[in-house]
Amino acid sequence: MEQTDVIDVLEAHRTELTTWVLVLLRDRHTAEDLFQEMFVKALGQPEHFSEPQHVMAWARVNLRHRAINYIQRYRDRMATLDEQAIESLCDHAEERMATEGNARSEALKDCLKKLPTKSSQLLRLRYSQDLSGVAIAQSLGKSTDAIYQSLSRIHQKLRACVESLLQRKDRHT
Amino acid sequence: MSAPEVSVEEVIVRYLDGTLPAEQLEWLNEWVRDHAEVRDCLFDMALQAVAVAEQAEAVNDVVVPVQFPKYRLWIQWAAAALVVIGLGAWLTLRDGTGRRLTSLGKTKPSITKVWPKPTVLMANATAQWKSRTLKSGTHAIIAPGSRLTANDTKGFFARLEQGTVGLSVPKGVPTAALRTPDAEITLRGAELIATTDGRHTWLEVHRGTVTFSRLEDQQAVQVSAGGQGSTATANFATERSVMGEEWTLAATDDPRIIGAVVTREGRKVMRAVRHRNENGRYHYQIVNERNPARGQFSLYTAQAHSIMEIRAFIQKAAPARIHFRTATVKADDYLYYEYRLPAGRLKPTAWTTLRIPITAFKRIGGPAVPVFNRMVQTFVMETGPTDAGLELEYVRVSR
Repeated sequence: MEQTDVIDVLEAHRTELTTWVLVLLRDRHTAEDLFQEMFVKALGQPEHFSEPQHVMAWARVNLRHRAINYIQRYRDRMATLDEQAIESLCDHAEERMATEGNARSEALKDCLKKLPTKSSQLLRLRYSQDLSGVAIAQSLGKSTDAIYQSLSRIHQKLRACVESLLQRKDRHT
Repeated sequence: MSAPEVSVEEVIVRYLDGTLPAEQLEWLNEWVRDHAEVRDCLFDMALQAVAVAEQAEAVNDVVVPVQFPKYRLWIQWAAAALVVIGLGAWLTLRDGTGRRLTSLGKTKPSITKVWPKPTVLMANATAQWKSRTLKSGTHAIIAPGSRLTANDTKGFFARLEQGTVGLSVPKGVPTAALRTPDAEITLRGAELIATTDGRHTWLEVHRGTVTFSRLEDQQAVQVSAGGQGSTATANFATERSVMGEEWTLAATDDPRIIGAVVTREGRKVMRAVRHRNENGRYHYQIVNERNPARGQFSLYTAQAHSIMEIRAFIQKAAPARIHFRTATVKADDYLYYEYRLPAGRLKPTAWTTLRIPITAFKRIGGPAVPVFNRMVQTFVMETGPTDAGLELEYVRVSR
């Protein structure tokens, strides 16, 4: 494959791949860094890949190793899931990405547009501006528990919305 | 193990926030191992988190936290009473300079009380930064040539007449405010750096959220950690850059290290340590330990100079491009220059020394932005389509 084709494949699945690492490491910036390192490695060997599926399979394995190495190196500093749970998640993620591609994240974009302003702002404070639940609670004059409960309800609504869109799409096809 | 009384989503929200108690982390481990639907839920929620961040970054979106209204009756009555009291205070009180306190701002009221008489004076006529921890636990560090007075007996009330001060105010201090000739900053449990030239005030917040009010027209904004604000009519950081200087305790213990610069550009955070050489010149060592990467950071100096010398080192063989921009910012002037490093000038795995005369900088225009009378240098580092290792050492500034 050409280097530009490899870039296209990885960029198209950037969100899914970063999400997978985020689940394991809980830190979006580190997840993006590991993605970048994998990206650099992939660009250095485009001739290694014969087709897009090959790139994705390689990327998943590469990221899995990088994430597990990171956890092993910094386990004492970060409270993360245990090894068995991580193994289950990795297997689950590979299966999910192989079957779904980026359909879920495409549906999610539509659902995010439908969110009420307050919900949307709360999500952005937490995940875009990286404010912790405690910091958001202080800023908004609410209790931390209330912030976590609001966030979990918004996540539930978004999940329901995505499922409904995917089911509708399935019916059409 | 008994089933917990909380929702899976809430446990996952806390897990992603890093605040999940150890006991609940055990529950989550068990759920993830045994239930595919929990694994799905975890991925879905993380995907939502990433998508929200990507969406916001795509439009360069910043949300200012605004308190949601609460409609309890007693709060409405209390608010009405406060308005009456505040109106009376506004009509009667004057500040130390004889001006009427413009405390009922259009957007956010500032502190509506006569400020207590200052009991602490921090005037720094030396060339070194001075630091002091006050009774309230507030840590103040004051730049050379600055003057700060404060009353620290009930809360923390300080006036910065001139110069720069860094404040770290503990959360326990009930009322804290910093006033400059044209602004008022009210805070509770925050870290910030404020600078004033006597006409305008410039603010950077590193922890917490503060209310930043311009006295002249009572405009007020809330500035959260990582953000900055200025009372000038525009802010030179009109791009995405949010730069801050984080004054560390090491800054006071080690005379060679006088601060650390932190900047957040998009997703990346870079740090730099500023040393003062024996000859009094500055030496910046800028390293992003985790991932030296695409980003932007700004260096500020009070003195204009004609040549800067920079040592650059690329850690990995990757396409790299560095832009150096410099701007001479005066009260009513804004010059914006750019220097593009010729392609191939930087060689991987070797230090390269760049001696760049200011005359080599090309003016690329920009709006007139009245800010401060000081030199601003912005380094824009782009390292190709992906991030690669890059270290810069700002060796010398010569006049």
